[in-house]
Amino acid sequence: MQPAVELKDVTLIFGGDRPDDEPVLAVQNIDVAIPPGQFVAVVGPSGCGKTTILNMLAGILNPTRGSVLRHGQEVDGPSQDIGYMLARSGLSPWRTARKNVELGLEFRKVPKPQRRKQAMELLAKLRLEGFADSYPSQLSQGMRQRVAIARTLAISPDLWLMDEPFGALDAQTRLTVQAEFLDLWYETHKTVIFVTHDLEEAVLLADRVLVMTARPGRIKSDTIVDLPRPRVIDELRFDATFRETEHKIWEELRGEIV
Amino acid sequence: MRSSDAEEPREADMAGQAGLADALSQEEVEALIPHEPTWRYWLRRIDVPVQLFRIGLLFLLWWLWWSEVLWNGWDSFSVFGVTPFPNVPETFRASPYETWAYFTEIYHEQLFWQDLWVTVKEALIGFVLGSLLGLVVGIILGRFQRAAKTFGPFVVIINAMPKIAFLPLILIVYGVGEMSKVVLAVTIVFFIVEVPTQSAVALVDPDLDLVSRTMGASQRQRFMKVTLPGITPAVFGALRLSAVISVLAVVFGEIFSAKRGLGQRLITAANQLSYGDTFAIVFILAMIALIMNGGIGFVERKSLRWQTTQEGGQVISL
Repeated sequence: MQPAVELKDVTLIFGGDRPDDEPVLAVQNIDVAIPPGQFVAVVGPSGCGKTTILNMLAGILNPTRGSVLRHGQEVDGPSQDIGYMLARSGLSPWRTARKNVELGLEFRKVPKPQRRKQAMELLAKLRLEGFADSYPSQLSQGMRQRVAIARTLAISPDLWLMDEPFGALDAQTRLTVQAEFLDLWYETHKTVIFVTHDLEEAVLLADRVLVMTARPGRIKSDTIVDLPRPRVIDELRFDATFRETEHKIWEELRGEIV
Repeated sequence: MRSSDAEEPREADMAGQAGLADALSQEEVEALIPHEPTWRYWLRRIDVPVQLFRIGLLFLLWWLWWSEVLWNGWDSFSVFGVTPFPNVPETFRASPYETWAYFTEIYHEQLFWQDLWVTVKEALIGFVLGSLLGLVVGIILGRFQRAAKTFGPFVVIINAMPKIAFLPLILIVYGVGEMSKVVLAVTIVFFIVEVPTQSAVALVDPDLDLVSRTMGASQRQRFMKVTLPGITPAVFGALRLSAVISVLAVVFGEIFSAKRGLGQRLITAANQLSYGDTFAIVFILAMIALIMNGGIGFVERKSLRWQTTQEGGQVISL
Protein backbone atom coordinates (compact mmCIF):
# COMPACT_ATOMS: atom_id res chain seq x y z
CA MET A 1 0.00 0.00 0.00
CA GLN A 2 1.23 3.46 -0.83
CA PRO A 3 2.09 5.48 2.27
CA ALA A 4 -0.12 8.46 3.04
CA VAL A 5 2.92 10.39 4.14
CA GLU A 6 6.53 9.73 3.36
CA LEU A 7 9.71 11.57 4.29
CA LYS A 8 12.64 10.44 2.19
CA ASP A 9 16.05 11.25 3.61
CA VAL A 10 14.87 14.71 4.63
CA THR A 11 17.38 17.24 5.91
CA LEU A 12 16.51 20.84 6.75
CA ILE A 13 18.93 23.64 7.50
CA PHE A 14 17.77 27.04 8.77
CA GLY A 15 19.60 30.18 7.69
CA GLY A 16 23.27 30.26 6.83
CA ASP A 17 22.74 32.00 3.50
CA ARG A 18 23.82 35.44 4.73
CA PRO A 19 27.57 36.12 5.15
CA ASP A 20 27.51 36.44 8.96
CA ASP A 21 24.84 33.82 9.58
CA GLU A 22 25.55 30.44 11.19
CA PRO A 23 23.42 27.75 9.54
CA VAL A 24 21.43 25.62 11.96
CA LEU A 25 20.91 21.97 11.15
CA ALA A 26 17.36 21.36 12.35
CA VAL A 27 16.58 17.83 11.17
CA GLN A 28 18.78 15.30 9.46
CA ASN A 29 18.17 12.20 7.33
CA ILE A 30 14.58 11.67 8.35
CA ASP A 31 13.29 8.57 6.67
CA VAL A 32 9.80 7.47 7.56
CA ALA A 33 6.74 6.15 5.81
CA ILE A 34 3.29 6.36 7.35
CA PRO A 35 0.44 4.22 6.00
CA PRO A 36 -3.03 5.78 5.65
CA GLY A 37 -5.06 5.83 8.86
CA GLN A 38 -2.12 5.47 11.19
CA PHE A 39 -1.93 7.58 14.33
CA VAL A 40 1.72 8.49 14.77
CA ALA A 41 3.07 10.36 17.77
CA VAL A 42 6.39 12.16 17.58
CA VAL A 43 8.20 12.78 20.86
CA GLY A 44 11.56 14.32 21.52
CA PRO A 45 13.35 17.00 23.50
CA SER A 46 12.32 20.57 22.86
CA GLY A 47 13.98 22.17 19.88
CA CYS A 48 14.59 18.85 18.14
CA GLY A 49 12.68 19.77 15.00
CA LYS A 50 9.27 18.18 15.63
CA THR A 51 7.41 21.30 14.53
CA THR A 52 9.76 21.67 11.58
CA ILE A 53 8.61 18.29 10.30
CA LEU A 54 4.96 19.31 10.62
CA ASN A 55 5.65 22.56 8.81
CA MET A 56 7.25 20.68 5.94
CA LEU A 57 4.24 18.38 5.70
CA ALA A 58 1.92 21.39 5.80
CA GLY A 59 3.83 22.84 2.86
CA ILE A 60 5.01 25.99 4.58
CA LEU A 61 8.68 24.90 4.76
CA ASN A 62 10.73 23.19 2.08
CA PRO A 63 13.34 20.57 2.94
CA THR A 64 16.93 21.49 2.10
CA ARG A 65 17.56 17.96 0.89
CA GLY A 66 15.37 14.93 0.36
CA SER A 67 11.69 14.88 -0.42
CA VAL A 68 8.37 15.08 1.40
CA LEU A 69 5.64 13.06 -0.24
CA ARG A 70 1.91 12.72 0.27
CA HIS A 71 0.34 9.76 -1.51
CA GLY A 72 3.48 9.53 -3.61
CA GLN A 73 3.36 13.17 -4.67
CA GLU A 74 5.84 15.83 -3.71
CA VAL A 75 4.39 18.41 -1.29
CA ASP A 76 4.31 21.78 -3.01
CA GLY A 77 2.85 24.56 -0.86
CA PRO A 78 -0.15 24.48 1.53
CA SER A 79 -3.01 22.25 0.53
CA GLN A 80 -6.64 22.34 1.50
CA ASP A 81 -6.95 18.81 2.84
CA ILE A 82 -4.63 19.25 5.81
CA GLY A 83 -5.79 20.14 9.30
CA TYR A 84 -3.09 21.81 11.35
CA MET A 85 -3.60 22.49 15.02
CA LEU A 86 -1.28 24.47 17.29
CA ALA A 87 -0.63 24.45 21.02
CA ARG A 88 -2.00 27.97 21.25
CA SER A 89 -5.56 27.82 20.05
CA GLY A 90 -5.03 30.65 17.52
CA LEU A 91 -8.76 31.43 17.47
CA SER A 92 -10.07 34.69 16.03
CA PRO A 93 -11.20 36.78 19.02
CA TRP A 94 -13.81 38.54 16.85
CA ARG A 95 -15.51 35.31 15.83
CA THR A 96 -17.89 33.30 17.97
CA ALA A 97 -17.03 29.65 18.61
CA ARG A 98 -19.25 28.59 15.72
CA LYS A 99 -17.82 31.17 13.32
CA ASN A 100 -14.32 30.07 14.29
CA VAL A 101 -15.16 26.49 13.40
CA GLU A 102 -16.53 27.74 10.08
CA LEU A 103 -13.31 29.56 9.14
CA GLY A 104 -11.81 26.82 6.98
CA LEU A 105 -15.18 26.16 5.34
CA GLU A 106 -15.43 29.86 4.48
CA PHE A 107 -12.03 29.65 2.77
CA ARG A 108 -13.49 26.76 0.82
CA LYS A 109 -16.58 28.79 -0.08
CA VAL A 110 -18.97 26.25 1.44
CA PRO A 111 -22.50 27.74 1.44
CA LYS A 112 -23.61 29.28 4.72
CA PRO A 113 -26.36 26.85 5.82
CA GLN A 114 -24.11 23.86 5.26
CA ARG A 115 -21.23 25.57 7.04
CA ARG A 116 -23.42 26.26 9.99
CA LYS A 117 -24.75 22.73 10.14
CA GLN A 118 -21.31 21.14 10.00
CA ALA A 119 -19.96 23.49 12.65
CA MET A 120 -22.85 22.81 15.01
CA GLU A 121 -22.44 19.04 14.59
CA LEU A 122 -18.79 19.21 15.52
CA LEU A 123 -19.42 21.52 18.45
CA ALA A 124 -22.05 19.12 19.71
CA LYS A 125 -19.60 16.23 19.56
CA LEU A 126 -17.22 18.27 21.69
CA ARG A 127 -20.01 19.20 24.15
CA LEU A 128 -19.86 22.86 23.17
CA GLU A 129 -23.27 23.32 21.53
CA GLY A 130 -24.32 25.65 24.35
CA PHE A 131 -21.36 27.92 23.68
CA ALA A 132 -21.70 28.27 19.91
CA ASP A 133 -22.36 32.00 20.20
CA SER A 134 -19.70 32.72 22.82
CA TYR A 135 -16.54 34.57 21.93
CA PRO A 136 -13.16 32.96 22.73
CA SER A 137 -12.61 35.45 25.55
CA GLN A 138 -15.68 34.03 27.28
CA LEU A 139 -14.44 30.45 27.11
CA SER A 140 -12.04 28.53 29.33
CA GLN A 141 -8.71 27.35 27.96
CA GLY A 142 -10.02 23.79 27.58
CA MET A 143 -13.09 24.98 25.70
CA ARG A 144 -11.00 27.15 23.40
CA GLN A 145 -8.80 24.20 22.59
CA ARG A 146 -11.88 22.11 21.80
CA VAL A 147 -13.10 24.86 19.47
CA ALA A 148 -9.69 24.73 17.80
CA ILE A 149 -10.07 20.95 17.39
CA ALA A 150 -13.47 21.50 15.81
CA ARG A 151 -12.03 24.14 13.50
CA THR A 152 -9.21 21.80 12.45
CA LEU A 153 -11.59 18.92 11.73
CA ALA A 154 -14.40 20.96 10.17
CA ILE A 155 -12.68 20.90 6.80
CA SER A 156 -12.60 17.05 6.98
CA PRO A 157 -8.85 16.95 6.47
CA ASP A 158 -7.21 13.85 5.10
CA LEU A 159 -4.11 14.43 7.21
CA TRP A 160 -4.20 15.76 10.76
CA LEU A 161 -1.10 17.59 11.92
CA MET A 162 -1.23 18.26 15.65
CA ASP A 163 1.48 20.37 17.27
CA GLU A 164 1.26 19.79 21.04
CA PRO A 165 -2.45 20.55 20.85
CA PHE A 166 -3.13 19.84 24.52
CA GLY A 167 0.13 21.17 25.93
CA ALA A 168 -1.49 24.24 27.48
CA LEU A 169 -4.22 22.31 29.32
CA ASP A 170 -4.22 21.24 32.95
CA ALA A 171 -3.96 17.50 33.64
CA GLN A 172 -7.67 16.75 34.16
CA THR A 173 -8.94 18.86 31.28
CA ARG A 174 -6.31 17.29 29.08
CA LEU A 175 -7.59 13.81 29.83
CA THR A 176 -11.16 14.80 28.87
CA VAL A 177 -10.13 16.56 25.68
CA GLN A 178 -7.80 13.72 24.70
CA ALA A 179 -10.65 11.23 25.05
CA GLU A 180 -12.97 13.40 22.94
CA PHE A 181 -10.28 13.84 20.34
CA LEU A 182 -9.59 10.11 20.22
CA ASP A 183 -13.29 9.38 19.70
CA LEU A 184 -13.45 11.83 16.82
CA TRP A 185 -10.41 10.22 15.27
CA TYR A 186 -11.74 6.71 15.75
CA GLU A 187 -14.85 7.61 13.73
CA THR A 188 -12.81 8.76 10.74
CA HIS A 189 -9.47 6.94 11.03
CA LYS A 190 -7.50 9.58 9.16
CA THR A 191 -3.73 9.76 9.22
CA VAL A 192 -2.51 11.70 12.26
CA ILE A 193 0.91 13.07 13.07
CA PHE A 194 0.81 14.16 16.65
CA VAL A 195 3.75 16.07 18.09
CA THR A 196 3.98 16.11 21.87
CA HIS A 197 6.52 16.34 24.66
CA ASP A 198 4.29 14.20 26.85
CA LEU A 199 5.24 10.56 26.47
CA GLU A 200 2.18 9.29 28.33
CA GLU A 201 -0.04 11.17 25.90
CA ALA A 202 1.87 9.74 22.95
CA VAL A 203 1.47 6.13 24.10
CA LEU A 204 -2.17 6.58 25.15
CA LEU A 205 -3.25 7.95 21.79
CA ALA A 206 -0.96 6.64 19.09
CA ASP A 207 -0.46 3.44 17.10
CA ARG A 208 3.20 4.22 16.69
CA VAL A 209 5.64 6.42 18.55
CA LEU A 210 8.68 8.01 16.93
CA VAL A 211 11.40 9.21 19.30
CA MET A 212 13.59 11.98 17.99
CA THR A 213 17.09 12.84 19.10
CA ALA A 214 18.19 16.25 20.34
CA ARG A 215 19.18 18.65 17.58
CA PRO A 216 19.90 17.80 14.84
CA GLY A 217 16.69 15.84 14.97
CA ARG A 218 16.96 12.26 13.74
CA ILE A 219 14.65 9.36 14.37
CA LYS A 220 16.07 7.38 17.24
CA SER A 221 13.43 4.72 17.65
CA ASP A 222 10.20 3.68 16.04
CA THR A 223 7.85 1.71 18.29
CA ILE A 224 4.46 0.18 17.55
CA VAL A 225 2.03 0.60 20.46
CA ASP A 226 0.19 -2.67 20.61
CA LEU A 227 -2.90 -1.68 22.55
CA PRO A 228 -6.45 -2.52 21.43
CA ARG A 229 -8.88 0.11 20.14
CA PRO A 230 -11.16 1.74 20.94
CA ARG A 231 -9.19 2.87 23.93
CA VAL A 232 -10.57 4.17 27.20
CA ILE A 233 -7.67 6.34 28.10
CA ASP A 234 -8.46 7.14 31.72
CA GLU A 235 -8.33 3.41 32.49
CA LEU A 236 -5.61 2.56 30.02
CA ARG A 237 -3.23 4.71 32.01
CA PHE A 238 -3.07 1.98 34.65
CA ASP A 239 -2.80 -0.94 32.20
CA ALA A 240 0.33 -3.11 32.46
CA THR A 241 1.08 -3.28 28.72
CA PHE A 242 0.69 0.46 28.54
CA ARG A 243 3.11 1.02 31.41
CA GLU A 244 5.59 -1.40 29.85
CA THR A 245 5.47 0.32 26.45
CA GLU A 246 5.79 3.74 28.01
CA HIS A 247 8.73 2.59 30.06
CA LYS A 248 10.46 1.08 27.06
CA ILE A 249 10.12 4.26 25.03
CA TRP A 250 11.14 6.34 28.02
CA GLU A 251 14.47 4.52 28.09
CA GLU A 252 15.05 5.72 24.51
CA LEU A 253 13.92 9.24 25.22
CA ARG A 254 15.78 9.66 28.49
CA GLY A 255 19.18 9.68 26.83
CA GLU A 256 18.14 12.64 24.70
CA ILE A 257 16.69 14.74 27.45
CA VAL A 258 19.48 14.55 30.02
CA MET B 1 -26.85 27.87 62.39
CA ARG B 2 -26.32 25.62 59.38
CA SER B 3 -22.83 24.71 60.44
CA SER B 4 -23.78 21.51 62.25
CA ASP B 5 -25.65 20.15 59.19
CA ALA B 6 -22.91 21.16 56.84
CA GLU B 7 -20.04 19.80 58.84
CA GLU B 8 -21.28 16.25 59.08
CA PRO B 9 -21.45 15.20 55.44
CA ARG B 10 -18.07 16.75 54.80
CA GLU B 11 -16.43 14.44 57.34
CA ALA B 12 -18.21 11.52 55.76
CA ASP B 13 -16.84 12.59 52.36
CA MET B 14 -13.32 12.23 53.53
CA ALA B 15 -14.01 8.74 54.74
CA GLY B 16 -15.38 7.61 51.41
CA GLN B 17 -18.30 7.91 49.01
CA ALA B 18 -20.89 6.85 51.60
CA GLY B 19 -22.08 10.25 52.80
CA LEU B 20 -21.73 12.24 49.54
CA ALA B 21 -24.44 14.91 49.52
CA ASP B 22 -26.54 15.41 46.39
CA ALA B 23 -25.63 18.44 44.33
CA LEU B 24 -27.79 21.44 45.19
CA SER B 25 -30.70 22.06 42.86
CA GLN B 26 -31.00 25.32 40.97
CA GLU B 27 -33.74 26.50 43.39
CA GLU B 28 -31.58 25.74 46.40
CA VAL B 29 -28.67 27.60 44.83
CA GLU B 30 -30.86 30.61 44.14
CA ALA B 31 -32.17 30.51 47.71
CA LEU B 32 -28.61 30.80 48.98
CA ILE B 33 -28.05 34.07 47.12
CA PRO B 34 -29.75 37.03 48.80
CA HIS B 35 -31.74 38.76 46.08
CA GLU B 36 -31.23 42.44 45.64
CA PRO B 37 -34.44 44.42 45.08
CA THR B 38 -34.75 45.73 41.52
CA TRP B 39 -34.77 49.38 42.62
CA ARG B 40 -31.56 48.92 44.58
CA TYR B 41 -29.93 47.17 41.62
CA TRP B 42 -30.74 50.10 39.35
CA LEU B 43 -29.61 52.58 41.93
CA ARG B 44 -26.28 50.76 42.07
CA ARG B 45 -26.07 50.62 38.29
CA ILE B 46 -26.69 54.34 37.99
CA ASP B 47 -24.07 54.94 40.69
CA VAL B 48 -25.68 57.87 42.48
CA PRO B 49 -22.50 59.41 43.97
CA VAL B 50 -20.88 59.66 40.54
CA GLN B 51 -24.01 61.21 39.04
CA LEU B 52 -24.34 63.72 41.89
CA PHE B 53 -20.70 64.67 41.60
CA ARG B 54 -21.05 65.16 37.87
CA ILE B 55 -24.06 67.42 38.26
CA GLY B 56 -22.26 69.30 41.02
CA LEU B 57 -19.27 69.81 38.76
CA LEU B 58 -21.49 71.09 35.98
CA PHE B 59 -23.07 73.58 38.38
CA LEU B 60 -19.68 74.68 39.62
CA LEU B 61 -18.51 75.43 36.09
CA TRP B 62 -21.75 77.21 35.35
CA TRP B 63 -21.45 79.26 38.54
CA LEU B 64 -17.84 80.21 37.77
CA TRP B 65 -19.00 81.60 34.45
CA TRP B 66 -22.27 83.11 35.65
CA SER B 67 -20.90 84.83 38.74
CA GLU B 68 -17.89 86.13 36.80
CA VAL B 69 -15.56 84.63 39.39
CA LEU B 70 -13.81 83.10 36.42
CA TRP B 71 -13.14 86.53 34.90
CA ASN B 72 -12.27 88.28 38.15
CA GLY B 73 -9.27 86.02 38.39
CA TRP B 74 -6.83 85.94 41.25
CA ASP B 75 -4.28 88.65 40.61
CA SER B 76 -2.62 88.36 44.00
CA PHE B 77 -1.64 84.75 43.25
CA SER B 78 1.64 84.63 41.38
CA VAL B 79 4.38 82.08 40.99
CA PHE B 80 7.84 83.31 39.97
CA GLY B 81 6.28 86.53 38.74
CA VAL B 82 3.72 84.71 36.59
CA THR B 83 0.04 85.25 37.31
CA PRO B 84 -1.78 82.13 36.13
CA PHE B 85 -5.28 83.50 36.85
CA PRO B 86 -5.27 87.12 35.72
CA ASN B 87 -8.24 89.46 35.91
CA VAL B 88 -10.04 89.79 32.57
CA PRO B 89 -11.12 93.43 31.81
CA GLU B 90 -14.87 94.03 31.64
CA THR B 91 -14.88 94.60 27.85
CA PHE B 92 -13.48 91.17 27.11
CA ARG B 93 -15.88 89.23 29.30
CA ALA B 94 -18.39 86.91 27.67
CA SER B 95 -21.48 86.49 29.80
CA PRO B 96 -23.96 83.62 29.50
CA TYR B 97 -26.59 86.19 28.43
CA GLU B 98 -24.51 87.37 25.50
CA THR B 99 -23.69 83.83 24.50
CA TRP B 100 -27.35 82.83 24.58
CA ALA B 101 -28.31 86.03 22.74
CA TYR B 102 -26.00 85.03 19.91
CA PHE B 103 -27.67 81.63 19.65
CA THR B 104 -31.13 83.19 19.33
CA GLU B 105 -29.80 85.68 16.82
CA ILE B 106 -28.06 83.26 14.47
CA TYR B 107 -30.94 80.82 14.53
CA HIS B 108 -32.81 83.07 12.10
CA GLU B 109 -29.78 84.12 10.15
CA GLN B 110 -29.34 82.29 6.88
CA LEU B 111 -25.68 83.22 6.55
CA PHE B 112 -24.92 81.40 9.79
CA TRP B 113 -26.34 78.15 8.47
CA GLN B 114 -24.27 78.59 5.34
CA ASP B 115 -21.13 79.10 7.44
CA LEU B 116 -21.97 76.05 9.52
CA TRP B 117 -22.46 73.97 6.42
CA VAL B 118 -19.14 75.11 4.93
CA THR B 119 -17.24 74.08 8.07
CA VAL B 120 -19.08 70.76 8.45
CA LYS B 121 -18.54 69.95 4.80
CA GLU B 122 -14.82 70.75 4.93
CA ALA B 123 -14.34 68.74 8.11
CA LEU B 124 -16.27 65.74 6.82
CA ILE B 125 -14.50 65.63 3.47
CA GLY B 126 -11.13 66.13 5.14
CA PHE B 127 -11.91 63.38 7.65
CA VAL B 128 -13.15 60.87 5.09
CA LEU B 129 -10.39 61.48 2.52
CA GLY B 130 -7.58 61.68 5.06
CA SER B 131 -8.73 58.57 6.93
CA LEU B 132 -9.21 56.55 3.76
CA LEU B 133 -5.79 57.49 2.43
CA GLY B 134 -4.20 56.79 5.82
CA LEU B 135 -5.94 53.44 6.05
CA VAL B 136 -4.93 52.31 2.56
CA VAL B 137 -1.31 53.48 2.85
CA GLY B 138 -1.07 52.07 6.41
CA ILE B 139 -2.27 48.66 5.25
CA ILE B 140 0.10 48.62 2.26
CA LEU B 141 3.13 49.67 4.30
CA GLY B 142 2.20 47.26 7.10
CA ARG B 143 1.84 44.36 4.73
CA PHE B 144 4.71 44.82 2.33
CA GLN B 145 8.06 45.15 4.03
CA ARG B 146 9.80 46.46 0.94
CA ALA B 147 7.22 49.19 0.51
CA ALA B 148 7.66 50.11 4.18
CA LYS B 149 11.42 50.25 3.74
CA THR B 150 11.13 52.40 0.63
CA PHE B 151 8.50 54.87 1.80
CA GLY B 152 8.85 54.60 5.58
CA PRO B 153 11.57 57.26 5.99
CA PHE B 154 9.56 59.77 3.95
CA VAL B 155 6.46 59.15 6.04
CA VAL B 156 8.47 59.66 9.23
CA ILE B 157 10.07 62.89 8.01
CA ILE B 158 6.84 64.43 6.72
CA ASN B 159 5.02 63.34 9.86
CA ALA B 160 7.66 65.11 11.93
CA MET B 161 6.86 68.43 10.24
CA PRO B 162 4.16 70.52 11.89
CA LYS B 163 1.54 70.32 9.14
CA ILE B 164 -0.01 73.61 10.28
CA ALA B 165 3.17 75.30 9.06
CA PHE B 166 2.22 74.36 5.51
CA LEU B 167 -0.95 76.46 5.71
CA PRO B 168 0.45 79.61 4.03
CA LEU B 169 1.72 77.46 1.16
CA ILE B 170 -1.56 75.56 0.92
CA LEU B 171 -3.45 78.85 0.77
CA ILE B 172 -1.28 80.04 -2.10
CA VAL B 173 -1.70 76.81 -4.03
CA TYR B 174 -5.37 76.07 -3.33
CA GLY B 175 -6.72 79.55 -2.71
CA VAL B 176 -8.66 80.88 0.29
CA GLY B 177 -11.76 78.83 -0.55
CA GLU B 178 -12.92 75.54 0.94
CA MET B 179 -10.35 73.43 -0.89
CA SER B 180 -7.39 74.70 1.14
CA LYS B 181 -9.10 73.74 4.46
CA VAL B 182 -9.85 70.26 3.17
CA VAL B 183 -6.23 69.84 2.08
CA LEU B 184 -4.96 70.93 5.50
CA ALA B 185 -7.32 68.51 7.26
CA VAL B 186 -6.33 65.66 4.93
CA THR B 187 -2.60 66.14 5.52
CA ILE B 188 -3.09 66.07 9.30
CA VAL B 189 -5.69 63.28 9.48
CA PHE B 190 -3.70 61.08 7.10
CA PHE B 191 -0.88 60.57 9.58
CA ILE B 192 -3.17 60.10 12.55
CA VAL B 193 -4.68 57.09 10.79
CA GLU B 194 -1.66 55.85 8.80
CA VAL B 195 0.76 55.37 11.70
CA PRO B 196 -1.44 53.22 14.00
CA THR B 197 -2.85 51.27 11.04
CA GLN B 198 0.61 50.32 9.84
CA SER B 199 1.73 49.09 13.24
CA ALA B 200 -1.57 47.24 13.80
CA VAL B 201 -1.12 45.30 10.55
CA ALA B 202 2.33 44.20 11.69
CA LEU B 203 0.90 43.05 15.03
CA VAL B 204 -1.88 40.82 13.73
CA ASP B 205 -1.71 37.44 15.52
CA PRO B 206 0.85 35.33 13.62
CA ASP B 207 -0.75 32.09 14.88
CA LEU B 208 -4.00 33.05 13.25
CA ASP B 209 -2.26 33.78 9.99
CA LEU B 210 -0.36 30.48 10.17
CA VAL B 211 -3.58 28.55 10.76
CA SER B 212 -5.20 30.30 7.80
CA ARG B 213 -2.22 29.55 5.57
CA THR B 214 -2.24 25.86 6.43
CA MET B 215 -5.96 25.76 5.68
CA GLY B 216 -5.11 26.93 2.18
CA ALA B 217 -6.54 30.45 2.43
CA SER B 218 -5.77 32.70 -0.52
CA GLN B 219 -3.98 36.04 -0.06
CA ARG B 220 -7.28 37.82 -0.44
CA GLN B 221 -9.02 35.58 2.10
CA ARG B 222 -6.22 36.02 4.61
CA PHE B 223 -6.51 39.77 4.22
CA MET B 224 -10.29 39.85 4.51
CA LYS B 225 -10.65 37.35 7.36
CA VAL B 226 -7.48 37.83 9.40
CA THR B 227 -5.79 41.19 8.76
CA LEU B 228 -8.81 43.43 8.36
CA PRO B 229 -10.72 42.31 11.46
CA GLY B 230 -7.43 42.21 13.37
CA ILE B 231 -6.67 45.89 12.83
CA THR B 232 -10.24 47.14 13.34
CA PRO B 233 -9.90 48.14 17.04
CA ALA B 234 -6.76 50.18 16.38
CA VAL B 235 -8.31 51.82 13.32
CA PHE B 236 -11.41 52.92 15.21
CA GLY B 237 -9.25 54.46 17.93
CA ALA B 238 -7.45 56.47 15.27
CA LEU B 239 -10.71 57.45 13.54
CA ARG B 240 -12.18 58.87 16.76
CA LEU B 241 -9.13 61.04 17.19
CA SER B 242 -9.03 62.12 13.56
CA ALA B 243 -12.69 63.23 13.63
CA VAL B 244 -11.93 65.79 16.33
CA ILE B 245 -8.65 66.78 14.71
CA SER B 246 -10.26 67.35 11.30
CA VAL B 247 -12.62 69.92 12.86
CA LEU B 248 -9.63 71.51 14.57
CA ALA B 249 -7.64 71.71 11.33
CA VAL B 250 -10.51 73.17 9.33
CA VAL B 251 -11.30 75.83 11.94
CA PHE B 252 -7.64 76.77 12.22
CA GLY B 253 -7.47 77.18 8.46
CA GLU B 254 -10.61 79.31 8.45
CA ILE B 255 -9.35 81.54 11.24
CA PHE B 256 -6.17 82.08 9.30
CA SER B 257 -7.85 83.00 6.05
CA ALA B 258 -11.19 82.06 4.51
CA LYS B 259 -14.20 83.36 2.67
CA ARG B 260 -16.81 81.57 4.75
CA GLY B 261 -17.01 79.16 7.66
CA LEU B 262 -17.38 79.16 11.43
CA GLY B 263 -13.66 79.84 11.92
CA GLN B 264 -13.99 83.03 9.92
CA ARG B 265 -17.09 83.95 11.94
CA LEU B 266 -15.15 83.27 15.14
CA ILE B 267 -12.21 85.51 14.30
CA THR B 268 -14.51 88.27 13.05
CA ALA B 269 -16.46 88.18 16.32
CA ALA B 270 -13.25 88.20 18.33
CA ASN B 271 -11.92 91.17 16.37
CA GLN B 272 -15.15 93.02 17.15
CA LEU B 273 -14.69 92.16 20.83
CA SER B 274 -17.96 90.16 20.75
CA TYR B 275 -16.72 87.52 23.09
CA GLY B 276 -20.17 86.14 23.77
CA ASP B 277 -20.35 85.26 20.09
CA THR B 278 -16.99 83.50 20.14
CA PHE B 279 -18.12 81.39 23.09
CA ALA B 280 -21.27 80.40 21.24
CA ILE B 281 -19.27 79.41 18.15
CA VAL B 282 -16.88 77.32 20.23
CA PHE B 283 -19.88 75.45 21.65
CA ILE B 284 -21.20 74.82 18.16
CA LEU B 285 -17.80 73.53 16.99
CA ALA B 286 -17.66 71.20 19.97
CA MET B 287 -21.10 69.90 19.01
CA ILE B 288 -19.91 69.13 15.47
CA ALA B 289 -16.90 67.17 16.76
CA LEU B 290 -19.06 65.37 19.32
CA ILE B 291 -21.62 64.32 16.72
CA MET B 292 -18.88 63.00 14.40
CA ASN B 293 -17.30 61.17 17.32
CA GLY B 294 -20.68 59.74 18.32
CA GLY B 295 -21.29 58.51 14.78
CA ILE B 296 -17.96 56.68 14.75
CA GLY B 297 -18.63 55.30 18.23
CA PHE B 298 -21.95 53.91 17.00
CA VAL B 299 -20.34 52.07 14.08
CA GLU B 300 -17.54 50.94 16.38
CA ARG B 301 -19.88 49.37 18.91
CA LYS B 302 -21.72 47.59 16.08
CA SER B 303 -18.57 46.10 14.57
CA LEU B 304 -16.64 45.40 17.77
CA ARG B 305 -19.25 43.54 19.79
CA TRP B 306 -16.68 40.86 20.61
CA GLN B 307 -14.58 43.43 22.43
CA THR B 308 -17.33 44.59 24.76
CA THR B 309 -17.98 41.00 25.77
CA GLN B 310 -14.27 40.68 26.43
CA GLU B 311 -14.35 43.49 28.98
CA GLY B 312 -17.73 43.00 30.57
CA GLY B 313 -18.35 39.32 30.03
CA GLN B 314 -17.72 36.71 32.64
CA VAL B 315 -15.42 33.84 31.82
CA ILE B 316 -17.24 30.54 32.05
CA SER B 317 -14.87 27.80 33.07
CA LEU B 318 -15.70 24.13 32.66
